[in-house]
Amino acid sequence: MTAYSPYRLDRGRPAQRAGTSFPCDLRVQGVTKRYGDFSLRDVALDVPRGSVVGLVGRNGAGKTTLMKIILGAALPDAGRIELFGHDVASLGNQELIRLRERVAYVNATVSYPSGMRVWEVSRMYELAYPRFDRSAYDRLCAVMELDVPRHKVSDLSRGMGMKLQLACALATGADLLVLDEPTAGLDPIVREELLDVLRSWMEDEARSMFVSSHITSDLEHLADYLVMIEQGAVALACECDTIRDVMGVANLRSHELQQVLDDGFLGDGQARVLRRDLSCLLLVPQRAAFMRAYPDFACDRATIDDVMAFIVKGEVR
Amino acid sequence: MRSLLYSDWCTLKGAAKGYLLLVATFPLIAVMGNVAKAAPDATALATNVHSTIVSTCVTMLAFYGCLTFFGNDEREGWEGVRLSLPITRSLVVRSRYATQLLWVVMLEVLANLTGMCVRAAAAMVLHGQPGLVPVGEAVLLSGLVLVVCILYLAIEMPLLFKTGLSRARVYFMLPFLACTLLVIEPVREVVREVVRTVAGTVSSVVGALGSPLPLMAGALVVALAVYGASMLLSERIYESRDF
Repeated sequence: MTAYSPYRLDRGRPAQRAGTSFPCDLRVQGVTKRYGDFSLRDVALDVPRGSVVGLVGRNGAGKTTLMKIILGAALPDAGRIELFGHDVASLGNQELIRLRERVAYVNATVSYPSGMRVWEVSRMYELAYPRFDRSAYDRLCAVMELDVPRHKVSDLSRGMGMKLQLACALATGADLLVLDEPTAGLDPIVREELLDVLRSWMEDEARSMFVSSHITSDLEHLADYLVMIEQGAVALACECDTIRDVMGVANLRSHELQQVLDDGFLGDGQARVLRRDLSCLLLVPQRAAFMRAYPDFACDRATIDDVMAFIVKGEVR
Repeated sequence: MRSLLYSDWCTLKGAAKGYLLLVATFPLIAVMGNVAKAAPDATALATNVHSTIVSTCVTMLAFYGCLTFFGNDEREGWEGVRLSLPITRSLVVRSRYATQLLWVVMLEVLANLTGMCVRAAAAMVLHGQPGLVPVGEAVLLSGLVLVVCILYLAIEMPLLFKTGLSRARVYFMLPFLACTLLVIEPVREVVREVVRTVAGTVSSVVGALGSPLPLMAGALVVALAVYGASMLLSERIYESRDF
């Protein structure tokens, strides 16, 4: 049987995997950053134009550090960031500003100065982004029921604060949207509202989105590609469809697992196993092939959570 | 840069009530303090009240304003997030230096207006005649306070850009801690000697010039040049800071 590894598919380069050269709105190449004991190591990923790339990983895996580096709030020790095909480190101030006008960011928490009012925040964006569309902002506020222009930022609930960030970011006229945990801590209704707005925004194929989230079910419905980061390095990069439609999780007894391993279905050192009390879970890269080979064994569809658990806690066999 | 200036303006506007309350309490303190000293005449009282208001109001609020701006940046993580806007780090530094300078000038105007009103009212009530301070003296005092504030900010701001407010607080405590050294007699004597020497030098320079105003103008130019150099230093420091 052919051994197949689902791991480290082209080291975070989903666009190049198909052998074609899509334009990339964001390209991260070999980024390394050390903070005391923590280090981000040789991270590489692409955000192809017209796509949504999801970034997942445990707390402290390096997601926020990577976001900060992409946005220029932290400086990498090595590697480069390309925005719309330009290396940001080699640009002059004016060129960098022109590029940044095409990028909008939504932070995990509402970080505007607490004394500012909602209308003042939108005014600030209007002054910062020449393409800011006031009517689009008003429309988004109406859709998201954000009708509190006189409220101070500090008085907004988390949900309202996130709506404000999103309305401002989407009205900037940006081509690339970077979101850090946009739905964390929101109730399901608000979360769904925000996801609907993001889906509508992505209907324009010239736009792209890079989003980190702990809520992997959101990514399953939103993202085209997935990059998983673990201990500061890219552990997995693949199309979300690969996880949903191609990969599987087999629930096996010990002797059944041993049989699969002995058959060489996965190749040496390629199997990821999670031990349970009475059984073992095996991450299956190609569910259909596995079911053909072992019709009597149970094999379910994989989810992003499953794959994360296997990569973080799974035993390599 | 306009967006950064605007966000600082909004921060200032949000804290305006507190500052206006402080400005309103300074005259009260100034009048009470100077009446207690039993100023001999209306002019002396007016001069004392005016100078107390201008010097304390401007220096204290310049310091608090600086803390407000940098404190707000840090409290909500805004200092990192604002870098996602289409701006550069040097623009962040420049806009903050511009805001601080405007803030000090605004305080000068506000304190002078308050001082003028209060001194006139106080002298009228206490001595039956309006207390007028010569324009030259008022300009001199304002210039001196401005020079002190600008030089103070020029030292303070690179530290704030280097470490952020929460860490820089320690450095700002040092001058106050240094003051406690004055309880040691030899230290006090050295300080007295330095003050005497400086005062003597200034007097002789003013005597040679015939008026203190050219000296004050020169000091202001020097202070602004130091402020500019401080901005360049802050830009360099801020370029390599991580958030």
